[in-house]
Amino acid sequence: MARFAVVLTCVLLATIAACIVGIAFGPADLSPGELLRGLFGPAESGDIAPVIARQLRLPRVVVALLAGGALGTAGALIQSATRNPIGDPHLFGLGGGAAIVQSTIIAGWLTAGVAVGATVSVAASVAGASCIAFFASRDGVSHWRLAIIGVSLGAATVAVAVGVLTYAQVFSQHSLALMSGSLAYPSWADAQSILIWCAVGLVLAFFVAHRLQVMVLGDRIAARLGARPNVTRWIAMIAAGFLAGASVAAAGVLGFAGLLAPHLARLLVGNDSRRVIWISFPLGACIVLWADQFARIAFAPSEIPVGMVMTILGAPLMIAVARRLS
Amino acid sequence: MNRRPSKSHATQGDATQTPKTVEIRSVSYDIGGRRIVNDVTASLRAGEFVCLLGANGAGKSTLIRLLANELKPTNGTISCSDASQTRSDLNDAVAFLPSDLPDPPFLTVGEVVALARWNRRSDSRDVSTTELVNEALELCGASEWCDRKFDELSGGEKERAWLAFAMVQDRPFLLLDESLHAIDYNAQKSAFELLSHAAARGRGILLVTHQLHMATATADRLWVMRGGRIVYDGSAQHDVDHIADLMRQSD
Repeated sequence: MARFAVVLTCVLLATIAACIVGIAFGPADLSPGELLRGLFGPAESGDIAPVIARQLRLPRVVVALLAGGALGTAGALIQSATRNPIGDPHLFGLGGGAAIVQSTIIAGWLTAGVAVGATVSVAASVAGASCIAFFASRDGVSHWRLAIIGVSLGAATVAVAVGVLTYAQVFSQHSLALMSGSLAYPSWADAQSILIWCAVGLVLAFFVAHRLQVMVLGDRIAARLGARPNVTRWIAMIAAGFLAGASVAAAGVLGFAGLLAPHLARLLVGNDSRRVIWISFPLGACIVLWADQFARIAFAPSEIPVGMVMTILGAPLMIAVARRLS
Repeated sequence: MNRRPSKSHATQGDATQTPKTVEIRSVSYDIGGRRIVNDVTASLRAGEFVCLLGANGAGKSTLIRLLANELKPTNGTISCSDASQTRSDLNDAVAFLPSDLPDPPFLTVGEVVALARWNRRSDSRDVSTTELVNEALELCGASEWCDRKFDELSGGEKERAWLAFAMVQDRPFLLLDESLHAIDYNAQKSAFELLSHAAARGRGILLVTHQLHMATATADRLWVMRGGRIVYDGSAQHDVDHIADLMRQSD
């Protein structure tokens, strides 16, 4: 317990530090005085500081925090519910379902505001999660066969989303942001939507976290211990669907956070699935926030999609984690 | 693995529970129009180590799955001996290790075995889970792997760890479906002795096995199945050849 508290404190401090960097630094060189005035002072016409601080940097930090946290927890839920070390909301098609919805909005085929768009995205993500839960609940499906099913579903949904954008000939920054994962365009409306759906996902996760502990023993033994494996898996996957859908609606398809956060969590706090699920939220948030700071600042005034940074930094780190796990 | 602490918790049947009998009454089980288990009547008593023998396809695994409440009989009933017992009580009374044991990812051996006590709020015997886990691992000759990743163990090592898992579960009856087939001779001998010892301390144990020598030397009773029926239910003190004959005689 002491170790958990120490790790949690360190992760929270690193997350807060990333938030401060996210708010304090950027292409527009605001002095500390201007920044504080921009954040807390009255908005006067012609003053750019409040616009930068309150309308650009602050919602971006909030969305990065929630999207990263949502993906981290979703990954932990999927890995526990399917006994699968490569369980990830995007690899398994949850995020791809939401990406299809977002691509139809960008293509102009579906007219929806931020809130409605996020809601439909969450529904699509939950549908993807239900597919995985359905296949995982069938007798005789090994976790590697399930991984192949999940990765196939993930590839198919991403292909459809790219197909929609290509067919509609929409090659805007928003298209790129959706498919590679970007935090360049979040608004307070995005932050509000992701907060609501994240909360729903986390409440569901709370109810199954205890039972998920025994899911690694396989359905037959978990059932004998009283864990009701099918119900537990469905609830966990639907929770992951809410979290992944909300994250895609606000930040696009952000790879690796959902895979990396739970594995790092296991290295840091051990294998108790409850601890892994809860620490994965701040850990995912911390990873995405720092990756976003790099994406914003490293090539300023240009910036690269945070999803690209996540993949470039995440892939070798994931290989290192996998080597250690094996 | 041969060490037996005189006050072992892990092999001890739950003294707070009244010894029970699992009664199998005229049980049959059909699948796809084929009768796999045919009118079986028998009883498994607490404090008894029973080995279930039979050729491949004799119906042993189906019978043990019926006892474990994983399958529902087509005809007949399986229940605990007390008048008020229901099938849910059977679930609470029985710990079951299936033949295809899973390979839990992420966890160490000690963590897997500790999950046998998952959801137990308190222990009336005032023994901590860690203590029970360590003791069971030691009895099963698995204590040196306590901190190793479970999925890195060999087949035989995994079976010994699963045996420790079953020991830590606090159920009056323990059913094992060919759960000891990959372990080496000495470990197997010790495992049979361990099960016999656990039975002597009050647990009812049913082991499906093909190890005739071990079964006749260690078990209290044998059930021999052939063609879905129990053709012998009696003392284990028999010549191995006689038991082998019983298994292969045509109906």
